[in-house]
Amino acid sequence: MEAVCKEQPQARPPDETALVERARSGDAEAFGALYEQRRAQIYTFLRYLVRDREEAADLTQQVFVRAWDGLPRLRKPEVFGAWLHRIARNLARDRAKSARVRMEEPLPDEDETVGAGDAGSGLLEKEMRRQVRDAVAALPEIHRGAVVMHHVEGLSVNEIAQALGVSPGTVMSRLARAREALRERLGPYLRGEEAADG
Amino acid sequence: MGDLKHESRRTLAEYAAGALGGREAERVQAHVGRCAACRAELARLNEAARLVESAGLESPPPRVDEAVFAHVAAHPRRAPAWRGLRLALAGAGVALVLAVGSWLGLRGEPPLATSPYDAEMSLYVRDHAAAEWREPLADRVGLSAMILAQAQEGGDAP
Repeated sequence: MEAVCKEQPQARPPDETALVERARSGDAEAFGALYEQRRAQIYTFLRYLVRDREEAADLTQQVFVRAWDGLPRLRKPEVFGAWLHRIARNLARDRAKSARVRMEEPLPDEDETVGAGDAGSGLLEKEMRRQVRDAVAALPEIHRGAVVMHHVEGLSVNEIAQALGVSPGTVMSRLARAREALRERLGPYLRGEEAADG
Repeated sequence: MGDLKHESRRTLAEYAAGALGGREAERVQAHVGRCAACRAELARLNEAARLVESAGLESPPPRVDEAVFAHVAAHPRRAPAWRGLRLALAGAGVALVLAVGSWLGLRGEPPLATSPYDAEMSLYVRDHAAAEWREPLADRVGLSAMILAQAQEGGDAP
């Protein structure tokens, strides 16, 4: 039997809190280490929210600039990751408002198109990745954020709850709805789908 | 008969995401253990999640690293000034409270003693009045208890 979704291990490295304390006091080197630890998470999170690679890069830059400037106001160093995600989410929302683009209707993922030179499993893999991206992109924004943080970044339910400002129960409920929708959309790519339908 | 009715996809998704409560989760788990169709559906739900996980993390382009580090270098920061100011203000506040407390304690002479017992109690009350100024919450209960005891004993005295 398949195991139910368990709380994933904390993505936060054990010494992150100490780094945050140092960075808060102005230690640029400590902030650099924090940036190295979190930059891929934040960029990936934003990629799923705005889909455009260049925009996601711009927003990632803004997140860390704001983080450096705003660190003295962060009271609890242990919620640094959740705080970063909240900044990223707010920036993505502001961008959506200013661009008059609803985050529920993401931009086309132009950089994931299958190239003519691809062949065999590489092509299938790329196509699959595009389908997965599209499936995640089709989720409502509140579900999408939770899915990316949990399934892509490996954040725990509690960390996501902190980032989104909701209860852990709400996070699990959103993850359940999202999983249902993903299963629906990715059905043709799931093993045994035809047998089960037959 | 119960096994013939399959669990809904929604219930299975909630089970997979850990969103079901203990008793409900146990019920679904027991059903899935007996029902091959629901077990297969649960497997597909979990596989969908795994496909998303397999997408993995992406790194931002190098220009982001450069821009962030350039900003940090251009905006060095010391420990926030307000924190030092806050500590200084807190220290000044404590010093003021201690000074006022001591002054009140010295100024508040006990009333003329009419007996050794009264003299002892007056000194006690004076000392505690000063202590109460210094630590209002810590000493208030003890002081109240002593005043009550004094009143009781005073009432009993000839």
